[in-house]
Amino acid sequence: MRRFSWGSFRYFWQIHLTVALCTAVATGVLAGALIVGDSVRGSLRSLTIERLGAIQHALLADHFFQPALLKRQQKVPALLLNGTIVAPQTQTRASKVNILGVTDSFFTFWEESNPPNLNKPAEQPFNAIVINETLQDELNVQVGDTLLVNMSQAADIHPESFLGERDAAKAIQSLRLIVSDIVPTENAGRFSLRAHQSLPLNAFVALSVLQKALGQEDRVNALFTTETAPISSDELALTLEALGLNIQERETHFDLQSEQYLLKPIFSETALAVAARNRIPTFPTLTYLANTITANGKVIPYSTIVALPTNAGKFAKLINNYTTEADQLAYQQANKSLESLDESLQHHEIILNAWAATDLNAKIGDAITLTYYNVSTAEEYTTATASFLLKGILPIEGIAADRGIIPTFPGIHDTADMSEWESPFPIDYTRIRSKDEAYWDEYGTTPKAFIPLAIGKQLWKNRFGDLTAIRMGIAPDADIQATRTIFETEFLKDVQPEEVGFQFLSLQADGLQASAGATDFGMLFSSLSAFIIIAVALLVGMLFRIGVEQRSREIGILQAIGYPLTKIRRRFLYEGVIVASTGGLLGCLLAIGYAQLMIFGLQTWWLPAIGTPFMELHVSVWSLLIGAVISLAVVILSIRLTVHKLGKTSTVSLLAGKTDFVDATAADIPKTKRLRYLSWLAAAIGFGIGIWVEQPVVSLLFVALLVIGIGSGVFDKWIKSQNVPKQLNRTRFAVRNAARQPGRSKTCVTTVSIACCIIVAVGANRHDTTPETEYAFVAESTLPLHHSLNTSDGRFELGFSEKDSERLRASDVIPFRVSPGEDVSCLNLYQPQKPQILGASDAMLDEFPWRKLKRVLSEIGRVPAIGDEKSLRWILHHDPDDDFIVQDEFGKSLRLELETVVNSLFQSQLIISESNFTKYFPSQSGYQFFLIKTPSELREETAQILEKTLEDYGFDLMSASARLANYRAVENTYISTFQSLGGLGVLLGTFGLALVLFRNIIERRGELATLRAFGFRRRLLSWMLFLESCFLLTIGMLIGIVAGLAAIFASQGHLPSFPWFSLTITLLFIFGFGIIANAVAVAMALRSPLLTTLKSE
Amino acid sequence: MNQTQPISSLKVSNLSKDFGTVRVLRDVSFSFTAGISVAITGPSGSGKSTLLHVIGTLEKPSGGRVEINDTDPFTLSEPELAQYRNTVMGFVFQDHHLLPQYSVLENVLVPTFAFKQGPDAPERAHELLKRVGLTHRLSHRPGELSGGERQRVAIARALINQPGILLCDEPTGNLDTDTSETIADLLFELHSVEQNILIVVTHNLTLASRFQQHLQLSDGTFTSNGDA
Repeated sequence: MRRFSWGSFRYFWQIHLTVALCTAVATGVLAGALIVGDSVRGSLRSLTIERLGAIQHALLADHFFQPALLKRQQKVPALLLNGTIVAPQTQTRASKVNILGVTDSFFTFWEESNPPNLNKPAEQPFNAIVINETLQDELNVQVGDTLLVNMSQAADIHPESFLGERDAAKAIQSLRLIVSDIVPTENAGRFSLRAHQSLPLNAFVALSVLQKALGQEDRVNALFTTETAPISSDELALTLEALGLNIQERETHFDLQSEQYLLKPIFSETALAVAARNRIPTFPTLTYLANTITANGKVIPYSTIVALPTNAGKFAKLINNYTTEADQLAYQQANKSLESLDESLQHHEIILNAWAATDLNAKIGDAITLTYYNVSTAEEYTTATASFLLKGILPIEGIAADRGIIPTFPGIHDTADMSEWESPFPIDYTRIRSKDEAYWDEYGTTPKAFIPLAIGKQLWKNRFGDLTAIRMGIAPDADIQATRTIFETEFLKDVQPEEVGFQFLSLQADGLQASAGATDFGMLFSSLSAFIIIAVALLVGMLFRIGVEQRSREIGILQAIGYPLTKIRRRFLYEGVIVASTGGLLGCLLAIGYAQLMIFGLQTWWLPAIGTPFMELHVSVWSLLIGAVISLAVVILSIRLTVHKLGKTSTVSLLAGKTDFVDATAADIPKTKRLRYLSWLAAAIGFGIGIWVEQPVVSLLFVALLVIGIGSGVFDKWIKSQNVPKQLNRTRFAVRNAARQPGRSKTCVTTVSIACCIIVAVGANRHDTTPETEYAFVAESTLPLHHSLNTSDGRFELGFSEKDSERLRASDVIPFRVSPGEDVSCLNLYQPQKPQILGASDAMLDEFPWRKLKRVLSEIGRVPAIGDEKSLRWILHHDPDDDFIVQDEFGKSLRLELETVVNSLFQSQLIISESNFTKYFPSQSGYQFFLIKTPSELREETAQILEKTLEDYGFDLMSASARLANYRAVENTYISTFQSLGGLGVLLGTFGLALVLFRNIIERRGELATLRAFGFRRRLLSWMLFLESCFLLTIGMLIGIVAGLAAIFASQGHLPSFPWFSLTITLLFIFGFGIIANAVAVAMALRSPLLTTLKSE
Repeated sequence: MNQTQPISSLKVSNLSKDFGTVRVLRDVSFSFTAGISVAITGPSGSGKSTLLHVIGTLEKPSGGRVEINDTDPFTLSEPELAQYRNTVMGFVFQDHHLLPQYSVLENVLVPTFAFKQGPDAPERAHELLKRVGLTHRLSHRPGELSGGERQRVAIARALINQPGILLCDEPTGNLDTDTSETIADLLFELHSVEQNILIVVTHNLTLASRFQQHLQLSDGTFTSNGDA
């Protein structure tokens, strides 16, 4: 049998070669698709390893700390900052630059990289900066050039708090540095914490230089280690200093205060809990600055007010000591009279010190009014007023004279005169009287008034805290030292580092996990390759059938001489397996070539899909094996089905050379019908499942296959119909020729329809038009803006000239807060681990669907959010029925109840309301993302003004439609890659069509010769044959187009705005290609003389 | 239907045909007039079919001359020759060469589609199929017919354009004796009606004896005189 087979291999080498090539194509396409997936993953993995070097873990913090905090020997300190760099020589600017304060040891993470020269050049007055080549390209600078580095100034007090520094000049730290070295954008030059395939802009500065510039000597905000053991919170030797806290110890008490002025809620809550647990008496206070204290028409400017427990402790005792019965009576009478007017004033009692009471000529029961600054959500100072009743007057003594509870006011505390105050808030120096200066000289920040703590919190509490100091007494059975020790020990034990801004990152492991990719290119290509596999299976089945048909006499003879049918079938199957396996092996090589071609495509023609040409070929044996096994299985199954049909034709017919054995015999019809019904039922169930599981891809696949199945079925039925046409003509005759081999015609139609279906279904999502948006620009700033661009005051603070400010009045800027995180759009190939979150300001929340963000959800830790439908589905793989969980600033889970928007400008982030943002990400300050509406005639001018004036902030504008176009470019690129698969399907379909045509002509040479004998000219015959194949091509394309449209409709619920132009061009191209292929096939087949076949001799 | 030309004479003079170095026909000459029926017999490889193909203008002669109504058809251009063949010649082959995808009626009409179709073609097709006794098989396909029925369809097809010359290459070669008789009867019956020149190549000597003239071909040349 084997000898027979070998002989047949040689004799029928053409058909075997074709089958082998088709199998090779199937294996090549499938395994190649999987290799593309491997390559994306492998390249991202390589990139991760390259950008992190040997770094395994990191300790990061949102504040500066001393490296000694981490109890580990092997650690490398660094300062990681974002900033902008301006090159004065070349007038260029780069924003979103990673400014890295490092030592030489940082570069040891990469074996190949030698430490660049970070030392100050001897002949230069400025310190050194080393940049990577990407940054060099951006700035167009050389070694020796000067760079101006801008970064956020390190500040203890949050810029948005009352005492925070928001002045542009003071909020930005500028450093002039000299480029001492340029390193390639690889190894350390590619270092980035951000999992993104794009090239980072890195600038390295000596750690000590950066520390000094920021006023953070010996402090860092990052520690790296190469040790494999993760850094745990237990390894942190937390100190109060590291947390920005300090204790002022006295004989009988100690005061806990914060360098950030306000004690963070987590600190005050923990401190009070620890004190309560250890029975340490506490006396919490909240100190604020009143702009005015007014009574009886008299005003005291700029006074310290302390909110404290007025009914307990030493203060209550002091009040009692100085409150007479007459005072109490006077206060009660005044209180009642006011109460009848305004119930809200019931508890608004105030105690003045004697100096203030005298200055205001106030007496018990008098109405006292305070004005003070509040900071609005838009970060503007607003003046608020509160009214009180004077309850008591205290001499400046005891606790009323104790400045220990007053934390340091930056810019105020250490000045000799009030007129020298340098505060972040506006001061009207004209209000300051000489008596105020005299008070300042004698008493400094000693409070002039006291109010109940509850009222103080009500007035001045904000997201940064509600206490400025907690005074603690002595615990029972302990002295002050012991009490303090107990408190500190337990306090530091109770504070969780994650809650106070420390992050423990397993950089390498997380990076490698993220490199699995947001989009599984392998699966994506493979799933679309499924169509190609089906097409190939059909084609191989048909080819093999042709091969078997060619040998029908041989089969008949074998049967006649006594070969059992099973043995004959086995022989053909054996041949098929050998041929297909050979093709499979060839396909493995083809797969590598195909993957290499696809990677080349992704690096060049389809670059927008991956953003940066970073990909390398990574071949996995498993992918080759899977590709080969699947395609072989499909091909062999197809061959098996063909071989199975061998038994359905009688030996006599086979001996007579009858080749039409593929048609089902009468006995098989019910079985075939049953099979067909079952197929349709399966397709319908599949469609139902697709709808049920809300998986558009599943719906698309099943609807496409269902429609193609129905279309092919109807065509099959029609072509087999035996009705005599009522009107006969040449064209109709030609078309009816397709009925000669209905099986082959159906296969061709199905293959072409599959290819067209892919092209239509995928191409329907292509966007031909430039996207429209109501916004002119999207802007991002590297450093946060703390002033509004919509007000002239805000623009003034940001440094706009009056003229420019006036021009900007025509624009409307909607600012967003930004939490650090990863791009969740299709522009990022990594699987985002920590999505970037935007806080949408109120200006955005008035319109649908944004107003949904205003909803207050009853569940704590759950907030409404909005995300782009495409990012959620394809990148974050979010189940619409579930909440999406992110981590808030304290390391706790924040559940986002997501609504979706479509084709939005927010494909890179998730959005929550500003109020929720400041609640869950309180330490993030300012605005860094902006949508800008500008009249079209002012766009260019507005862009120039904004970018120029806000240069130091790294303010980058981009046309909003261009941004949308960028996203769409990625989609369109994906579509192009998928369409190329469709194109391959077309190639196969057309090849099949041409092959069938060729084969049909060869088989019909006798008939064609007869027609020639009856006077049909060669040209007419060619035309009829050509028409026949064009008819099949047209039917196949029509079925494919209908199937594609139906599938799109089923999966999306509507037809997208259709890219008629590109799709029509593509389909016309396919049609043209098919026509040419058919014409070639006809020409080749009719090349030899026909008439000789008529001879019966 | 195309205008058919009445054929009065077919004259072949010193006809020869070579295939490479092999001479298949040598100095064949004969002359026939309308209404004659001729049988050509001879052993396999004697050149019978080749002669038929040359007469039918399917192959060009290597030497000699073919004249139909005193005109040499081989002087015509390829398209003219095709049209000439369409209107003047009718062919019946041993393997009938019916088109399996078409119905009986369509097969009979096939020659009419080579050129502009006349309005009475379907009518004549029905008439011919009636004459060959296949009116009940109009919509059947060749695969559903018996061998004799298929050959009858082929005969009807050959006569659809009322050809002046009907050329039959072993028309009963694949048929049993009874069916062969029936087909022969049909051929003679139709010939008597059409009055064309009927030339049949056959191995069947009994059949050949029924023709007005019987020529024997051996090694490319007639062993009996072909003059009619």
